[in-house]
Amino acid sequence: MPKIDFNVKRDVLDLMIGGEKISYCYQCGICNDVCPVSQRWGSRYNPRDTVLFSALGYKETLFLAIKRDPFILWGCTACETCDEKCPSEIPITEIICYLKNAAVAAGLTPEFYPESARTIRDNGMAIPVQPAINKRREKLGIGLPPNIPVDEVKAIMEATGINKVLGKKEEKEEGTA
Amino acid sequence: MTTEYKLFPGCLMTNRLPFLEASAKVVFDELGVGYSSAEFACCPNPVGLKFVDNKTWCALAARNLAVAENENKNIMSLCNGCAQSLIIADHEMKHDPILKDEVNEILKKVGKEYKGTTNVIHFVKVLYEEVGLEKIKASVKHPLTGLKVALHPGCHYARPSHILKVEEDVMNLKYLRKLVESTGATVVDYPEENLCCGNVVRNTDPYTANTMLKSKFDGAKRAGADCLVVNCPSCFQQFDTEQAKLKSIAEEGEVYKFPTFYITELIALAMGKDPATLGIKFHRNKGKEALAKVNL
Repeated sequence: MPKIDFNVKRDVLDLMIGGEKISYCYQCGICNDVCPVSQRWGSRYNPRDTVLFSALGYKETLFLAIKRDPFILWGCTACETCDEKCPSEIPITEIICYLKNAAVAAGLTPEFYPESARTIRDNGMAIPVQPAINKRREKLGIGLPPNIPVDEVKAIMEATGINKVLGKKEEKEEGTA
Repeated sequence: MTTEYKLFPGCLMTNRLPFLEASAKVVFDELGVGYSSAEFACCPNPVGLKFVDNKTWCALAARNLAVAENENKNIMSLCNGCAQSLIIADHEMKHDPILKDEVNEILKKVGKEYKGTTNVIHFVKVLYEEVGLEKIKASVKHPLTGLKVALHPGCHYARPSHILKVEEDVMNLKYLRKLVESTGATVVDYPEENLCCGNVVRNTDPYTANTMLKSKFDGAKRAGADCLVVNCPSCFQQFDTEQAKLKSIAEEGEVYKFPTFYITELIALAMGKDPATLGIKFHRNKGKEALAKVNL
């Protein structure tokens, strides 16, 4: 009997704005059929299973599988085609997003994601201002971009507690400095 | 037109693809769409920071919304992802008072408050619904007759439809189609029109992203298209920049140098603007053959 994580079950159910739609999932598999990633990988990427395991609260089973193959979760390209086609209107991409948040907290993430969050924290933008591009902007007649409120972004990210998740690399950087 | 929008070009356009922003501004100026800039930060990325921590993503989006609220202006986005992020964050806070309170508690630290009074709109909707096709057609001085275009409206332009409410039929979008047709160009249908550009899965598995990109180009080529037209800088980057990576999975003799244009580039060209001053030269795939077809 898999271990049931009632927090996951409750959080996933709470995601359903306007009702507990996830309980309407009857495992028809349309999400898999219309998914461009599933079409390429078959059973390796299977949103139907992800929805079922989340609805049941089988976090441990699911996360063990993600540990073996992160693609089970991170293979989602967030195109939201499944959401549009689901006959029960289950916001599958939102559930996957919730699971991604939990996976990041557990350290089960491609490095791209925490790294891109650190870029935003340190620059206020996911892609920092670049002198060469600024020159190009001036040549194109659109001038320099407006001031970026980096301090406000840093203060907000400090307050949300995300730095606890992003902190690891910083410590490493301090160590090597 | 008297409405002035706060323009939200987003990180990618501002700091990597400024020629797309330039083309949008040329078109807005010509058509009388009012806009001004503001001190926005990252939207933040609905397929980046949102995956790391939903609350942080929401708080940063709320800060951007608050900046526009302070000026009593609506936001016009030049990017599918930015529009989607800001609209969904707004939606989440309007339907979840606890989240809204948490976010406002955080925003106090930077002296801001999110109230929920600003609307966010994608520029394609502004061009189609507010400017209107007649006005755009009247501005065309160099019709792009004969140019065959495959459309790519992009996933986050209209999905999830129950929140974004951009167009009536989300899997059969018409605004971009009509805008392209107003330039004199012809839209060709291909089965991959609604297929994702592969941007998100590229961060996890580039191979999967490349196979999606390949399907897209193969479909557009089979349909006889000369180019792709997009309304999102992120999709543009996938098609124009990442296309070079298809070399490793290309069939023998198949070359991937297919051009992509942002919709305001296409409209600006039809308005008679010079490709050189628009910055088409900054594309990786400059589409010389496609442009030659319409004497450019």
